[in-house]
Amino acid sequence: MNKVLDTIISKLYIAELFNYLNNCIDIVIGAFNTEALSMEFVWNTIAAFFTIAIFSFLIKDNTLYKIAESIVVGIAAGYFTILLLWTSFKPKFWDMIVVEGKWWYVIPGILGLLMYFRFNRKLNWLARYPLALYIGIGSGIAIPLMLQTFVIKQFKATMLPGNLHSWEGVNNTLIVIMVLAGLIYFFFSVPHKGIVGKTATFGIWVIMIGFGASFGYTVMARVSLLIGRIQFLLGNWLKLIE
Amino acid sequence: MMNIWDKLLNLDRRFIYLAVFLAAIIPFLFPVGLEINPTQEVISIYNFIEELPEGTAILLAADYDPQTEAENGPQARALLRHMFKRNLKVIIMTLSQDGAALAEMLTKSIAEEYEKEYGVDYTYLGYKPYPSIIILSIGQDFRISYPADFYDTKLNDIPMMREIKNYNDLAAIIQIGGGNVSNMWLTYAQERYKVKLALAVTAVSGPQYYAFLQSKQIFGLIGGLKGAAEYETLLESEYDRLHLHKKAIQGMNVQNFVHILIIALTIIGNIAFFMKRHPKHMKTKG
Repeated sequence: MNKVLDTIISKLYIAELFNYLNNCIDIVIGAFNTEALSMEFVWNTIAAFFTIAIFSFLIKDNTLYKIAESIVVGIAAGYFTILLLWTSFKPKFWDMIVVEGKWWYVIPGILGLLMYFRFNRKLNWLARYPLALYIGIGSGIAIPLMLQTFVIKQFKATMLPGNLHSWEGVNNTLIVIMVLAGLIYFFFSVPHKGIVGKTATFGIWVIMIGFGASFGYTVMARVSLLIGRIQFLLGNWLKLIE
Repeated sequence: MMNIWDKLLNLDRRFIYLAVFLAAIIPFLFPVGLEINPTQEVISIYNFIEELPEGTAILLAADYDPQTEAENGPQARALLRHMFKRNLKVIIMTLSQDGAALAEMLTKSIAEEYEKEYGVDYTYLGYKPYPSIIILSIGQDFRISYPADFYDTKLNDIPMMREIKNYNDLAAIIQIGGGNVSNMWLTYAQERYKVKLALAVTAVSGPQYYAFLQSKQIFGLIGGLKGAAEYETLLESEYDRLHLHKKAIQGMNVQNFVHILIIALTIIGNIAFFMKRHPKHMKTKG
């Protein structure tokens, strides 16, 4: 009796599986019947193949993953080289000199070429000239602006007037206390004993709360990337969801 | 013989991947609508765009690439829809080398939804390398770094660009991306030229930019898929009007289930760890 039942069930499953495969083939053939849809389907299938190939690493390292990884790295390197050629070398060097006749654009070109002398042991000192110019100009522009953006403005925002009568005031007071406690934890010139020790312990709690918030956001970011791929696989590719 | 705690601590990590994968798939197939409450930092950006007069120029810097499309894509779509809905003149550009095609696709598809005309309602400038130099040069004139747009049309031949020279002619910049390029917009645009700036960043970068919100260096912040879902919620009636798909809201519903699973796994993992360290357990083992 059991054997009979097993046979019926297995046959039913096989029939269902067969139907499902037939439906899938119909979808594929249907997709190829319309030219526009077929191209979309082909590209989405290629993208789906690479998505699955990358995810296969989670099971274990394998050839499929390595192929997908190599293709991504290769395409990215090739794409970036051509992009730089067309967005930097052609408009800023070739067109300026050859098309517009601005010969003085040869000077930055020569400076750029000097960078390659780093590969020559005897003449590598020549590479220092463009680097000196680049670092000099870069630092001159960046240091004052970065100091303002990331240090002075942040100092000001830490030292806002605090009180206990409003939420904003309480928030400002908490910021001052917590920043000081966090800084004391990193102050190693005094032994972490007594009041300093207690403040440093509070400081480590503050830092841990900060790390916790960052970790929570990081988890959310990683899950978002997984969700993005699933939206693509189930939606754009298989059309199972909207 | 291994007890239950040993088994849990030695569980093959692939079972956890499978559980996360299932938790991310099942809610897609059987959706549960959970409420999304917009936060103040997202509302600030929404209100700012809402209150701008029609025809005001705004810059959307879509500095993201395919790696973060899942988070930044829905943010960009929601922001651009809002800008077009408000009939603003939008300049779109990208400083991410892999983002040129993404930003172009985004611009074209949303402009089509709102029947916007290229060159009159929006302009796509494309990609240029060396972000800090580009950001600084726009402060003087767009034409220094972008003599022509993405399609090689001279900026002076584009109607809406004739009246726009530099940051002074823009209501604000909304930068989508996160990481180094966001820092450059803060340093070389906001600090150097005092231009109004808001950021839409990946969730990983989110916490570090809250400090700039506190210091009022940015007027709004959209963090990750959650921020995008909040913006979609604020634009809800617009989505319904156009029968559009609320991708970030759908994603956040799934996100909640995965978070519940991760919290449960963290608790179970910690209980197993402490039970293994418990003296009674050590004694039994010995």
